Amino acid sequence: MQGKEINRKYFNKLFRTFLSISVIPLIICTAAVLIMMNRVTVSQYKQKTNDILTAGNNKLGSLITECSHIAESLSNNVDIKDDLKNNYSLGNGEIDKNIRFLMTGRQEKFQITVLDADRNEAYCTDTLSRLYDLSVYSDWGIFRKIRNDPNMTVVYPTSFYNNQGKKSVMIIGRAIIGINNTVLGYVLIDVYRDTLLDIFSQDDNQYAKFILLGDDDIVILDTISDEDEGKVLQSSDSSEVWLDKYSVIKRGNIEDFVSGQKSVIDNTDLLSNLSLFTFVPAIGFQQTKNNTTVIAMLLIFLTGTLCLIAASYMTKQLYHPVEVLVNAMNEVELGRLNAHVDIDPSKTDEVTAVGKCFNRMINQIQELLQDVVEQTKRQASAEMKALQAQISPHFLYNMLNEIKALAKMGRNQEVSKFAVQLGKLLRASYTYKGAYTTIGEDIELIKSYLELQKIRYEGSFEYTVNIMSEVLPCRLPKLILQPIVENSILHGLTGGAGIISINCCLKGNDVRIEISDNGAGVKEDIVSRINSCQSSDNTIYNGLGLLNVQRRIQIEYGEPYGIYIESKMKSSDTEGYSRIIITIPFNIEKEEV
Amino acid sequence: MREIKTIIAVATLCCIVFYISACSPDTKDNPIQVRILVSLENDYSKREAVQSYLNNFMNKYPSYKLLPTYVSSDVEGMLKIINAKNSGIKYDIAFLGSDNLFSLLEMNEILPLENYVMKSEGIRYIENFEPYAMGNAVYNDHLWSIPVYRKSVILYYRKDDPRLKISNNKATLEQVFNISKQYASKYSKTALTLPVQDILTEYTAYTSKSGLRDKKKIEGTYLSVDSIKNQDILFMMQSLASLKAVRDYGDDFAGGIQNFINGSVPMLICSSDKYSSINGLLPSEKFGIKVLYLDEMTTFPTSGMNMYMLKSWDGKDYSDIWKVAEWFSDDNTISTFAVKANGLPLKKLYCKFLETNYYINKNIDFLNLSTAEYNSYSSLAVYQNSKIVRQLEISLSDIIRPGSDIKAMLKELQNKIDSILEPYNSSLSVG
Repeated sequence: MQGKEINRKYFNKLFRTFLSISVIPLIICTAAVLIMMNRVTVSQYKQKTNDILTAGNNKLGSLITECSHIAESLSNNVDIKDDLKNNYSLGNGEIDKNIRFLMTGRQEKFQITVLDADRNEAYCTDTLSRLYDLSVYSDWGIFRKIRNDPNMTVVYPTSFYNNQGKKSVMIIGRAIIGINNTVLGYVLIDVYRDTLLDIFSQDDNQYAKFILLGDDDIVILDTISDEDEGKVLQSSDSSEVWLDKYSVIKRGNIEDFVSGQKSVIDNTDLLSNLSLFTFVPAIGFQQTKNNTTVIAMLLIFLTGTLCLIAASYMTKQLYHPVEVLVNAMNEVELGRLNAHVDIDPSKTDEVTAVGKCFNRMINQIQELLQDVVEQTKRQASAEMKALQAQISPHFLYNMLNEIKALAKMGRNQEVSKFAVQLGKLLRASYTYKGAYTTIGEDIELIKSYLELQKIRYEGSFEYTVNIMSEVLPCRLPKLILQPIVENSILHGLTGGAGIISINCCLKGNDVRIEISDNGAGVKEDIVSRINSCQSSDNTIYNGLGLLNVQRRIQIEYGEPYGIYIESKMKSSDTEGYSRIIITIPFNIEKEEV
Repeated sequence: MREIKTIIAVATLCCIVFYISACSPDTKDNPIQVRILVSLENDYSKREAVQSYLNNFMNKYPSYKLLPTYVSSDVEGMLKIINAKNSGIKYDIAFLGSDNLFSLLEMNEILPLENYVMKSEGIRYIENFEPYAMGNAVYNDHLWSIPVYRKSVILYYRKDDPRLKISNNKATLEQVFNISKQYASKYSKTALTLPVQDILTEYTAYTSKSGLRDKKKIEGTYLSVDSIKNQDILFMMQSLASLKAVRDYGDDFAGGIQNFINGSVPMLICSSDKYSSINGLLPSEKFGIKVLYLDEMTTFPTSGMNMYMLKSWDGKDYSDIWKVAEWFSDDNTISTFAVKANGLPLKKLYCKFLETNYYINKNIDFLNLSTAEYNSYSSLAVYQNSKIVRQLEISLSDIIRPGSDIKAMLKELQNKIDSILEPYNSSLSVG
């Protein structure tokens, strides 16, 4: 389970990485394209709005200039001044004549009022606004503004209906100045709402809306709805953003409108504080924006899906060898040492190299384990054989019979010696513990063994032991020498005076032990098999355990070490011999307890 | 671990919500209190009308608690305002006589309303008011109050007195005096009862040109009372008094009405808002009413009640107060209030409303009364300066005494007025 979790994490990491490096650039590119397209569209709409605004602004400027000229001409009219100065009735004098002339063809655009400042008398071409009652409003609204700058034409908001139901929304007024700068009266031109609507109605964009603001942000004209005309512009509580003119004007909310502002003041003789706003509903803009967004989203979705699939495929491709390795490791972890990674020999990538390494490692582990098993088996087998040889009932029976026979013959000294050697051998056999002994200990054991065999075989052989004292503490696997010596006694001696010699010396860093006899010798094929560590069908030599000793030494110390046999078969002409040379590294480390 | 974090987050959120809801002001427990001062001008029927409007408002806006204080007269109302800080009772809105505007301005007690009106109602709202109603509402480029009710001085006459000949022409003061003179001399009976001093004061002040409207006006400030016109009318009054053709009821309004009701005097000059009181005692077919003109061109000035927003000294939000004020300045409210208080129509657009809701139930003469072209000259010229008012009252009370030298007295009065106004004009020329 743990292995599987690790797999998933690494897989996920890979997957996320591939997905990120494929999707993030895609998103960034799409966003950049969207922003650019949005900017281009906004820019186009702004330009369009600006054109509409400029056209409206020019027309409004023309109207105001026209009214301003009329107001100025009337305020400077000598006849009118005389009428006002002399308190003539305004309706019957020159005022009526002059204004009628000026109003020709303009009745539908605006109305003109002339007020007598002193008498609170008025002449009006249509309907007199209640706000023109100078007894009440002489210091209020447009009159205050005119009084502040008596020589200027001023523009001011208004809101009233005349008798025909026409609504006036803007006043253009001017003082009539008499001698000593006294204000004789006022000329006031009330511009109808319809006049302004005509100005702002444009064929090229019927959806454009206009808001004209006057002093103190008072709405003069609002082509969206006349509800707020005459009021100070303020935030609307309406949930419709379209109606929230305040937020649009004050904050320039481009999301729902493309809006623009233009001041109408371009005349030094005209005192006005007008601001013209236009709103072009961003219907097309929104449509384009929405289409672009939808296309972009689709693109993102499609390419994202492709990226997902590609990332998944690539991740799997990359992850597969790792997964195979991990699975193999899991198998090994579970004890299945036969697990191997299938390797494509044509591949030379890193993962394949890791797979090969893994396979080699597993093979080595297997070999090592097999060697260990074999060594253990052989050691156990050797020990068993040695014990069997040394303490088997038959051996013991023979030995005891020999003692009995010697005793009957009155060879007490030999009995005593026999018993002592047998005791030594038995003690050594019982105290076999661990896998190693020293050369000195083993030689002692061999000597006891040879002494016993010598008594048993009634001195049919002699033996010599020459050991360099330096090699005595050298470590030696147990039961190396005994099988060879036993072999020399059992198979080497042929009835004549046999000699078994054991020599041990230091040669370089190695210890060389030679066990030689002058017996029958060993056949050449057997010698070559033992020297090359090949098993043989010959049970005799196999049974001798030489091959076993050879393998144990080579497993323990490696290929250069082991036993080497030199032998010559005895014939009728020549003496035979066998020399078994054991080479082991000189090592005096103590065996662990 | 993640679940614990989620639980902690939700618990924290709940605590915050609970805390906010616990800390937010409970409008039911802490309503916005607005104190309203109402001058009833000795007409206690107004109290019922005002109270019904207050109740309607509180029903609609439960978060408000309106606390009305009713006073019998403007004088009492002004005293309440003056004494507000000492008493600790702050009034937010006042319904007081329109002629208190300048006193309240002098006391720096009121707020201009144009910013509120221009935002919520706009220019059209102001334009819809009859100019005569705005006389004491607009001053120096500011809208200081909203007119809620107007009245004027009118002529009541007995239709059932065959000796009285009232023509269909405009009723000027001069004509009424002539009728009274003829009636008295023919039938040796008092023909007219009126508050002499008030009428003469208004006549003297309003038939003359006045430059007192704007202190900053180029022409300067003046009040011309020493005119032939004034001499004539005062002579006429002196003569009528000597003939006992007229009876001065002064402040005894009830006595004046009583004389008219019982027929001892066939003509009565008094305020238009007393119509209901008179009609309650005398059937409408037995008496008629006419607009009373000072001269052929000028009606008697209108007066009445205005709504003022008083300055706050307790940190109250003006927008809260305006919400209440807006309720009372609503076109419909003003119109219906005017109906209940026998007021003149304040807005032309609502004439139809008034015709259907008011005049059809009253004397048809009232329709004529409402369609009169009232002059928009307010009592500004007089009430702007209390010294002039006082001087006019003192001088005119002497003038009507038999044997008084009217010409000399008017000349002396003119000198006194000029000396009162002189500092204003000198400061203007320096400025």
